[in-house]
Amino acid sequence: MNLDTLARLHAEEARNTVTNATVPPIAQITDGRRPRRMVAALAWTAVAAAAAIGAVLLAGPAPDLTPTTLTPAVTEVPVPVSGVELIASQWTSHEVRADGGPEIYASSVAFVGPEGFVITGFTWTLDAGIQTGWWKSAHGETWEVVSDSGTVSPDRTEAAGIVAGEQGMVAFGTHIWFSANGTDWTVVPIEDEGSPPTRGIALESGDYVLYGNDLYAGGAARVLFSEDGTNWDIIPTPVDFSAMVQLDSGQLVATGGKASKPMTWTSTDGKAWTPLSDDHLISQGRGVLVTTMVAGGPGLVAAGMNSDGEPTFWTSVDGRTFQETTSFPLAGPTAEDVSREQPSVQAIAVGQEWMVAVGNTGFSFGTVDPAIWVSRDGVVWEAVPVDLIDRIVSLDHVTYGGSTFVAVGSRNARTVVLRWEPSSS
Amino acid sequence: VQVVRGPTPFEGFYRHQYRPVLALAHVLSGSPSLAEEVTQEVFMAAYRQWDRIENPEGWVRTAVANKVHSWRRRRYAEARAFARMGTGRQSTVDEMPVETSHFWAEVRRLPPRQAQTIALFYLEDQSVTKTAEILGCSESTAREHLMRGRKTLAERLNVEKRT
Repeated sequence: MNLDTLARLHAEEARNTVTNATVPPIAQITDGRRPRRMVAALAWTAVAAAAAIGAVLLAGPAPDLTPTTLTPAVTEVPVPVSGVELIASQWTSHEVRADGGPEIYASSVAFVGPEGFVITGFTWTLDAGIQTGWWKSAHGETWEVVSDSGTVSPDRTEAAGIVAGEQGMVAFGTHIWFSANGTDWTVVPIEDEGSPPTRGIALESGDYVLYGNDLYAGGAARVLFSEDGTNWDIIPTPVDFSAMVQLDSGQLVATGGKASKPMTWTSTDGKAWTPLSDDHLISQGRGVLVTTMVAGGPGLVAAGMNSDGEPTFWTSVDGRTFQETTSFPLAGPTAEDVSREQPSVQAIAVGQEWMVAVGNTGFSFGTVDPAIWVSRDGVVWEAVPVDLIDRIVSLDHVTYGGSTFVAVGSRNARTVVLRWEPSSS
Repeated sequence: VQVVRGPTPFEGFYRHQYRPVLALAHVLSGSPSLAEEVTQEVFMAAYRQWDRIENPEGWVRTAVANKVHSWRRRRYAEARAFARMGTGRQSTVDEMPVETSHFWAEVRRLPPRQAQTIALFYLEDQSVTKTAEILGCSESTAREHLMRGRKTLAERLNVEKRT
């Protein structure tokens, strides 16, 4: 049987799967209502997208695009950000690719000390499909593939993130990998042979915590803990943590839970977690998502998406009381809104004088809006009009090390690195 | 006097297009429940912007392809949400036979554009011209995606590629 015949056969079978599918009543579509089972299962993504579109439609006139800045809960007067055009001109673009080589997709970047930077993600080739990979660079400009990046697996292997700790680097995605030097990576078994969650943090104690959900297995909330990066314990978790940070005091703070009620949790060791009361919700808004938190500014800086579906920053002095400081209202609605990837801040890196955040304010084929924001204090953020990001599909992560910010994204199946070395001011 | 109101243009479009679009979402996502969720969300959005959509058939297919692609691309964040949505739900879309499921899983392993081109070409029996129009690319680009996708599929499935 040739491919055409086979494809048409399976196309027919696929069409048959919807023959008896229920077509929802037209009123459900035109009224924007969903059946009860969907309401019960509604995720924040749909809520945020609908809210963003609906709010603008209801509002009628185009929204005020002036960034909203609320009074921050800090005693010092924030240093105003200025000269973003100058900052924008200082960014440089570099590609991670090899002529004739595989398609490369970066997921995360980490600064690993004297070795420089390590990017992790995956490659795609005709023969091997999706396989995880690592790339190294001393200064973020010239990148080389890590040759011993593991054997090709018959199954899909993909790293979603990487963290660098005292004892080495841990990458995680479909598996957990450990490397002491960023070059030699080995797969680390998990006690129950399940999949790891897709976010991680290296603690000051030298321990590692992976959190979030096991995306590649079934989406269950998990927390894994390790003292050395190679032996992992499964920690019972009542919630799917979306972001985690260790404050300068050593206390751990995490956010997570239902979209309608993103709770804040604390821990002293990464193993035992205590929820804070409703008084300490990061936001009362439905659909809020905190995607990243870093220690910095007045204590910690959190970022993600507010209840209006806008890229947003929050600050907290102690991890208990949060204040939304800066958000970036979205334009719309447009024909692309329906296919918009969730607008959000994806990652923040803290440098000596600056913080840099990356994310996106929209996504669809032909309309891409990756974004870079900078701040001196974590309170006042300003978008940087970096021309170099015009043709980038997404900006996924950013890190800081060696006086340099390195952000990774993708463009036409290639990984793009944006690099900024701030001049001293 | 009883006034009998006929279907609006959107109603007619919706009733005629819902299941084909649902099938497209199904093969591109591999998940019946996700396919239903995405399809309904797309039609709701289409209704809101109905007056501004020039090519509704292409628009909803592009939107479905983009939403599913977005879900795959933004692996952590969106899949996290969809994983929640899928929990405990009963879909009205039938499961695919095992061999059919395997075939479309192989299609989804292709780069996104190739997978979308293959799906539109075979599932919807669309012409290359129409496929290019839906995907917002040139006809030659769509043809290239189709050629590459078919080549890869044929090799992986160990069947002949008829050109």
